[in-house]
Amino acid sequence: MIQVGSHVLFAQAHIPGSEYIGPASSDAGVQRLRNRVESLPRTKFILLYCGCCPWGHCPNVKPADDALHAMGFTNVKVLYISDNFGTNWVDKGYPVAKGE
Amino acid sequence: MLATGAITLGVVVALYSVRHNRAPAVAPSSTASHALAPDFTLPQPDGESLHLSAYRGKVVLLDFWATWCYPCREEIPHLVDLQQKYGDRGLQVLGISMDDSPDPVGPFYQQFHMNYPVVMGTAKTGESYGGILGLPITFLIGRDGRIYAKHIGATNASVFEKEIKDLLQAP
Repeated sequence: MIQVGSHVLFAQAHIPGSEYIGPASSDAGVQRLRNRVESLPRTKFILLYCGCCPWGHCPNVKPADDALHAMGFTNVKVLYISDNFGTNWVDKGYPVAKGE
Repeated sequence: MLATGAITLGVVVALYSVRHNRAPAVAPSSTASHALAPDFTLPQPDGESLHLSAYRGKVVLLDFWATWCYPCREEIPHLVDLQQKYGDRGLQVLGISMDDSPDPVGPFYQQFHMNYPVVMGTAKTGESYGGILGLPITFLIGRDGRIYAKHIGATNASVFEKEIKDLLQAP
């Protein structure tokens, strides 16, 4: 499970067990994502999420999803967060972890 | 019948306008339920520190944003306009960038002709403001340093403008 948005937001709250990779809207972030998953079997289940802003405006999840599919991963899902991580996850009382 | 329909349509439109354009009421005279805005000292992209407390006595529009946030990019030109229009009357817009690095902030600042200070936010800053877990999030702070409004997501500039005018008029 990989968060592909903002580190400052990740440090405040993230889904327990998820890793931070970096904003996939940047070339550097996408490259870090590629490096992280390179050694994984292409059938590995990978869940991506962001939650920076409303789903239709998120600049991070699509580049991340596209990058993984281009690498041949066949079991990639993206967590749908309609408004933002605070409203749709934290405020709902779902599990949250803080810090790095 | 046509006149009745027109009157009905007019009432519906009026009710819609009232419902969707009504700005949250800011009540500067009522401080009991308005918390003091957490003070912070944060670096600007050039490294120079900025203290929120230095702006006590001004109305502060505090905007949490990031360079890659599309709703923020749509909202910021309106914040520039508000600073231009109300700066002489006591408004100060402050931007807190939640970018991971200051590197993209300088070019963005120039591109968007930003006319107000921007600092680099931290997780600690976000937590002190109740958790900044989406962008943009904007606070209106009165001259007394208290928070009078919070907006999650991009907000119509007319809403900000009404709140700013109310707060500028407050003692």
